[in-house]
Order: sequence, then C-alpha cells, then structure tokens
Amino acid sequence: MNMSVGDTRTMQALNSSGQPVTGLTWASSDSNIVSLSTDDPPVLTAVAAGHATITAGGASADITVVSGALALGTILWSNPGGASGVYSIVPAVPSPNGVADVFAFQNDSTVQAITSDGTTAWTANLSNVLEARFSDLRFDLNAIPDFQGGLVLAKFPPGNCCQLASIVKLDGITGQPGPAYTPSGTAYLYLDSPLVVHPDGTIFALQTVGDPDPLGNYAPAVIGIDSATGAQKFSVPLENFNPDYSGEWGPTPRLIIAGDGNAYVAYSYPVGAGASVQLSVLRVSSSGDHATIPIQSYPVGIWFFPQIQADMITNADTGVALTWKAARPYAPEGGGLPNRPAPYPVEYGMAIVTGTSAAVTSGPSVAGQVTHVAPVLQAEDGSFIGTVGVAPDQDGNPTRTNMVAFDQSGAVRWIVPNEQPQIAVSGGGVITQTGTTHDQGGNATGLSSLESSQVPGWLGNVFGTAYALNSGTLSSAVSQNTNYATTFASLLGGNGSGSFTAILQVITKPPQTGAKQLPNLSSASCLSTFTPTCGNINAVELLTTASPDFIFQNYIQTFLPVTALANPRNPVMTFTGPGGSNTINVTGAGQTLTIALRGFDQFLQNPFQVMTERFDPTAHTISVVTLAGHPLAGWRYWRVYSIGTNDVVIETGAYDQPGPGAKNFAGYYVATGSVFRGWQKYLEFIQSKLPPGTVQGSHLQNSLGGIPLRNFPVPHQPLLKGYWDHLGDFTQYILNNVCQSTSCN
Amino acid sequence: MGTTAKIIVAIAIITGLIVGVSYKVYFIRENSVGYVMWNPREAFFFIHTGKDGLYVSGLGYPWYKFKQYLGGFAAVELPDDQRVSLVVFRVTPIGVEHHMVRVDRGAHGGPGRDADKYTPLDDRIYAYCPEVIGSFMQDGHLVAKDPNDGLCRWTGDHFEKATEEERQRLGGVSRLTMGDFENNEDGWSRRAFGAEQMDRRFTIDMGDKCRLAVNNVVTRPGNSSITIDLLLPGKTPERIGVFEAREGRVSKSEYQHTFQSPSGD
Repeated sequence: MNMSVGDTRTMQALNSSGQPVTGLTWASSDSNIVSLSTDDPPVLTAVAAGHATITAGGASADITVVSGALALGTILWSNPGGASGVYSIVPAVPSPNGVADVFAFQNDSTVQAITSDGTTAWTANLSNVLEARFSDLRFDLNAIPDFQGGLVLAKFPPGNCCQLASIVKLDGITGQPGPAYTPSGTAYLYLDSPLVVHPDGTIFALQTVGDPDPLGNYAPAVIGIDSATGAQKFSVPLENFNPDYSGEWGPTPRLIIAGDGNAYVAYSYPVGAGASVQLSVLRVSSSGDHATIPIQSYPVGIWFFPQIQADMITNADTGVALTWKAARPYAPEGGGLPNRPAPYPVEYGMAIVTGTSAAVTSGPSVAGQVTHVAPVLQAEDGSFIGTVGVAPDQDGNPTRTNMVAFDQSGAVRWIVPNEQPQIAVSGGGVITQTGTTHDQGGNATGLSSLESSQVPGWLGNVFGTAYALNSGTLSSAVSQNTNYATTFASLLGGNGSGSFTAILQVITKPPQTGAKQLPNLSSASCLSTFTPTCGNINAVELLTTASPDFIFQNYIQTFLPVTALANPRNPVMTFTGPGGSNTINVTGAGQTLTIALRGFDQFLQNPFQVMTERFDPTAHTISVVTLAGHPLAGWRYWRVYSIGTNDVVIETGAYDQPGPGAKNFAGYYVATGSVFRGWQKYLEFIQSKLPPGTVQGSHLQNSLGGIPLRNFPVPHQPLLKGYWDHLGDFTQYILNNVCQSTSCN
Repeated sequence: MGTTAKIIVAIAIITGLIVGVSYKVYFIRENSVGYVMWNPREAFFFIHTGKDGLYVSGLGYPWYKFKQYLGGFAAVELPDDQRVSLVVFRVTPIGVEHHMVRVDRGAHGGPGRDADKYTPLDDRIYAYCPEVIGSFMQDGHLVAKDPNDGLCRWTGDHFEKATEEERQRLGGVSRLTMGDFENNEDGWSRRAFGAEQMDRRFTIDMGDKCRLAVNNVVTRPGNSSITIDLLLPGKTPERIGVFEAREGRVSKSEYQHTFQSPSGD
C-alpha cells in the first residue's frame, strides 16, 4: 500500500474466504511513519515519509509513505478477494445509499463490495447468477450496479441454466437482497437482453408474454420493476413481434436507456401477411408510457427475405441514433429454386430518433465492411465513434474490427484500423481499448495514462484513480485525470459502470498535474499587455494580545481561515490537505495543498493545487508555488510579524501572472476583485477569532515594510482590501518573502 | 422612422430594461462540516450547515455566465445572503436528541464568531466562543481581562459561558483543541468530517450496543451527501441525518424560503 503524508486509510484482515477478521492485535513497525487508531480494524494515518510494516495476527503488509503527491501508476491498495480470486470488476455508482466503490466478482460465485479505501464492505452469494458465465454472454450484464449504490441481479432458478426467473436488488449498504421480482405463470426473462436500470430506480427487462406459438416460441414485452418493492410497474409488448422471425432474421432485442430517460429497444417483424419486414423502435418511459416508432421497411420476395442487424446509442438527451445492416439473402423457401436472380446488395441505414419521429439516412459506408458501423460513443461535437467489422472470412464473418467516426448524417469522418473506442474525451478525441489517444481527426497522439487493463473509477475524470485486475487481485492505482467528453455517451455503455444507461457522466475539467507552473519572467511587468506580471498584497495591522507565534501556529500554519471545517462561511475558497483532508498542518516545503473555488452554478473549475516552497516558523512565513492547472502562475506567501507591543501585522502577497490559455488570460483581469476579496476574508477571519475589541492599527495607511504605497494610477485602498503593485515597488519585497531571493524561478 | 415608431421602440427598450433589471436568477450553495465526539455511552455531532445565496439580474446574467465560463477566480461570486446553522445530535443507545442552533444572528453570531474547538472535558462538551471573551482597550492597547473567558459549555440545547469555577478547574481555553483523537484518558474520541469531493466512510462503535456510520458520497462533481446512520442490534438501521453539499440554480420561492423563513430549511 502506498500513501501520501496526511492520508488516512483503513485496512482489513481477511480470512481465506475473503471475510473480514476482527479481534486481532494490530501494530505498526514505526508509528512515526504510520500510526494506527484503536479501531478494529484500525485507521492508518501516514505521519511522515518512509516505510512501515503493519501486522495483524500472523499477517503483515508493507506501507510506503511519500511526502508529495503519489506518482502515476502508484498502487494505492490491493484487495485479493477470497481464495478463489476476482475475475471481473465493475465500478459502483456513488450513492449515499451504498458503500461500494467497485464490485468485485469472484470465481467462487460471490461478489464483494469494495470501498474506496480497498476494504471489503460486504460479500453476497451469486450462485444462481453465475451460470450465465458459461454461456457466450457477459456475466456482468446480469448483475449491474443501479443508481442507488446497489447491485441488481437477474437470477436463474437452481438447476436451470437457461431461463432467468427472478430479479433482485442487493442493498448498497448491507448487500442483503430486497424483495425479488418473479414472473408469473410460465413467463420468463429474456436471457439475451441485459437488464438496464433507470436512475430513478426502475429496472427494465424483457420478459416473455402470452402463450407460445406452435413452435414453442414466445413474444417479449418490456417490463418495468420497482427495485425497492420488486413489484411490476408495467408491461409493454413489442407490437407485432414474431418470435419465429426474430433471432436469425431480426436484430436481437436489447434494451438501452437513453439520455432522455426512456428505454429503447429495436426489433423487426413481418407485416402485411409477410409482404415486408418492418424495422421499428419501441420507446418506454419509466412510468410505462410508450410509443412504437417505425424506422424502415424492406419488401419480402419469394427469393429473398430481409435479415436485419441493428445497434443503438443515445443521441445526447434527445433520443437515439440507430444504425443497421439489411441483407437480403435467399429466403429459405426460394433458396433451392432454379433460375434465381442475383441477390440484392446489402443496405446500411441510420436513423436519428427524436420524440416519436425518425430521420432515416444511408448508414455510414466503409470500404470492405461486412457489418454495419455500430455506434459506441458520442463525441463532444455530437458525432459518433463506433466500430465496423471488415476482412470477412470464408463464412462472411469479419476477422478485424476498425474504429470509425461518423456524423449525424452518416458521413464517415475517419477510420482507424484495428482499434475500438473506449472513452470519448474533451476536444473531440477518443481513447481506445489499447490505451491509445486519438484527436478529433482520428490521428494517434500518444498513450493514455490509463492502461488498457485499467478501469477508471466512476468519477475517474475527477479523482484520477483507476482499478486493475491482476492474477485475481483487485488493486487501485493513481491515474491521470481523464477529461471525458461532455456527452451522454462518453463512456462505453453510457456510464462509469458500463450498464447501458446513458447519463451525462461529468463536466469536463482542465487537467491537473504535479508540475510547477512558473511564470515567464522574460518581460515581466505589471503594465505588460500580453504577460501581465504583478505583485499584490493584502495586509492588516491588529492590536491584539495574541503573539505572532500563536497566530502563525493557529491560523497560518493550519490555513484555518480557508478550511471548510473551521470556516464553513468562507465565501471564496476552500483549502484541503493531502487526501482531501479538511485539516491542514504545513510543516515544511514540498507539501501540496488543494484549492477549490466556491461557485454557485456549475463545477466548471477543477480544484487546483499549490506546493509549499518555504516554511519558516522563525520568520512566521509560509510560501507556495502554483502547480499546473492553477489559473495563475507564480507564488504567494503568508506572514505575521510584530511591529510593537500587542501590535502585529498579518499579510499575504503574491507575484504572479495568468496561467496558460486565453481563458486564464481573460480571467486574470476579471478576477482581480475576487482574489483581493478572498484574502480580505482570510484576514478578517483571523481578526474575528482574536479577542473582541481587537482593532486595526494605523501604521499601514501609507506604507508597508518601509515602502510607500502609491496613489497612482488610482488612489490605493486600505491594505486589508488589497493593493496592486502596478509599478513593481514591492516585487523584491514579495519575492524575498517567498524564497528569500530576488528570483524564485 | 416616424414619431409613433420611435415611441414604440423607446417603450420596448424601456420595458426590456425594466424586465431585465427586475427579473432575477437565484442560486444557492450548501456545505456541511462537523465533528463527532463519542465515548462508550454517548456521541455528540456538531455539524455546521452553511447556505449561501446569490441572485443575478437578467441584465447581469450574461456577464455572470461569462465569468463562469472563464472559471478560476473570475468565477468567484460573493454571496448576497448567508445562513449558517449548527445542528447538534446527541446519540445514546436509547435515543437521539436533535437540536438546531442558529449561529448567524444573536450573541454568538457573525462571521468567524461561531463556536469551535469542541472538546469533551469532564464528560461535558466545551468550546471556544470568541464572543464571550472579556477584554477592553486601554491607552490604545488591547487588554484582555481574562483570555480564558472564551470558554463556553454545551448545555444540552445551546452554548453558554462557562462558570468561573469551570474556567479555573479546566485551565480556561488552554485544553480546547482541534483535530482527531482516539480514546483519550477519559475514554473520548473525536473525528472531523465534512462534505467533500471524495468518498469517505467511517463507523463509530459506542461499546457493543450501538454503531454509527458516517458516509460521505460524491453524487456528482461539486455535489456530495453526508449520511449518518444509527445501527442497533436487531433493528433496522435508522438514518438520523442527511447533509448535502450542493450548488445550483433554484426558484425564487425556494430562495426566499431558505433565507427569509425562520428555519431556513
């Protein structure tokens, strides 16, 4: 396990079945490196950089603690699961009603809820779910996370491998099953179609309905189930569905939930006494309202019978996009007749379904294709990224899959051979299953930090953690934040769990790295138009009995005025320490602090970071440098000093310029007031925590540190409200406080 | 353009300006942070819930959105309204007491004047209350009558100034602390928690009779939820508190209810 100084983590002892063991004696080989709480199991706190071994009974684990940010790829924790090993992992949906960060499916027919710190919260039996693994289906389509933190299972009756007979939800907190849904009579759930769950808790599934036809086949209906009660909410038959026709000749009905909140299923059926075949889409809301939307009709002849394959994806939050292949091979009854004509060419189609209408165009066309281009992701500009099968074998089946980008009219934009899309990213690019990044033109641009074997956590674009499975052991690793595209299908399967429910996963944020973001000082001047580089200072003189030592230790070293815990009223910014800790204690250089600006409307700005440059308890001074991703490039310091008996000055100053990019440049000028107000609030908080009656002194009205305050180009305001050093009078003063030098670069 | 047309255009412009000025867009953001202190017999939660409100006129809205687009410090807006409450739970194996203390008005109100450094001493909860410090100015200098006057005590439904005997016995505010600790010499533990952008969960065992689960879950970037559940043997878990951290646009009526109603809930 790896930790950064200040991190807290829990650790469990597991028996051979993967069950937590309590009552053991826990010990740290060096409590100055890693300390343990008295809990059972204990909470580990990384105290200082180094190595320590944690023992519990006869087991042990090595902990490495580093002082700065953990490097990309660093394993945060590992969980081996039970003795049988983990074979599949699915990120859970964050919810106040669930504890799992990821679900680990194990070879012994159990699933474990693994929390974000790697501990096993609960284990549940899946013995009647796992049989599906031995079919050619993905097992996890029958066990999918819902949006309430739980796990929804479609189960077989004992001893029956092939007819799903019940649906049950495991509670997100306890793992206990809730009321099960069981189809009545002879009905059973469709094995071929995955369950899909609506964010409101409704489970959609396909179930047989009515009596079987003479061949024993059943027609399906879309059913809605209340996951809390197990009660069926509605049943909507697939209109005109012909079970004898589907399968070999029609698309296999598969449910998705699109960004508009409706479930969709595409299917085809013969109409007009077999004169034609109709491709349609059924749309069903979570209250059971529904509509059948006709898409395309193909005539049936004695020689030929249409065979349709189709795939769907959400189209933002307006409906779905459907692509299909319509082949017309020889019909069974016409295949053996003499003098048959040449077969019709294969047709590819595409429809944009909005409301109850569909706009049909030719589908994306790719040279050598033997399948339709199936949409997989939606890129930021609304175009789609999908896959197409090419290079047919002797049976006509594709031997290779290419990645294809196409727009809403079906026009192909670019093709990348032998790749498949995994994540649509901001700027129109995509990350593939091999971990390669491609720009909006399809050009390979490098490798993602997300390894191909890694699965990003649900909020992987925010927290930069990813899960991996190696030899049956689940591990969590530090990964670079990935800027997902702001669409409803930026991830495979529409969300972080891949459960075929399309949601707007996140809003894109600027990437963060640990690199210093130093200013360009080649033509540094506050008056420069293109590289404005200014000093600014907020300061207050207070008449107080509190000593500089007291103020430094209680308010500056702890950044108390800007921590949410101490100052929930802070209206501008919130600082957190390593691991998101609400308590900060700066004890040296190289420590990273995270700053979140407080907005009202949207979460457009990722928290950004600074790193301590100077820690000087004698001079009561702390300084920091901005890290990449910060809207500014430069330094800031905080300092308290005495100028007389019961008379102290607390000040904070910065020397900086806009961070890279046009937005930071424009924001630099717009933000001036906000920066000043933020630090004014910081100083006022300290003042408010000192004895009442504390008043401001009068020594800072015209100078600071012996340097006069100018009234040019505008009359200066009180230092508490902030002073712009337009002419550079304070540059050396500020830099000396930052790094005790005239240049800190 | 004729006179009539000019009048119509002028009326339209004036009407547009009036509507633009009078129409307002409302926003609220919430945050919650707190401490839990417990021993084998009881647990205390002191949770500050802060609500900030902002309203922007129709004319000012495009500028507001532009600043949001720029992000960073440019997107920072100071609130037009603020409301902070202190929610206190006392949990024992036989029940939960719930208290709401308004701290943005009254004796302990005002920015930075909230009680903090909640510390269990002698089986009571004491805190640092800046407003109850006795001090005065003399010859231009601050003279503290007794810095330890800042000691206050939780009475069960509010804070009040500690008695002289308590201040003497406890050494004033010198024993008040911040930060977490486990099982001190009096059997107390303390842990800070808050709505934050990272999933966190911890449990508290009060002897073998009672377990409390505190769970912070990020529901989407910028929004999270803290839940506090009470688990008793043989009983269904009881949710005793839910605290949201969220931000976003709200209706005028919700805004007015939040900042003008007595409870603000």
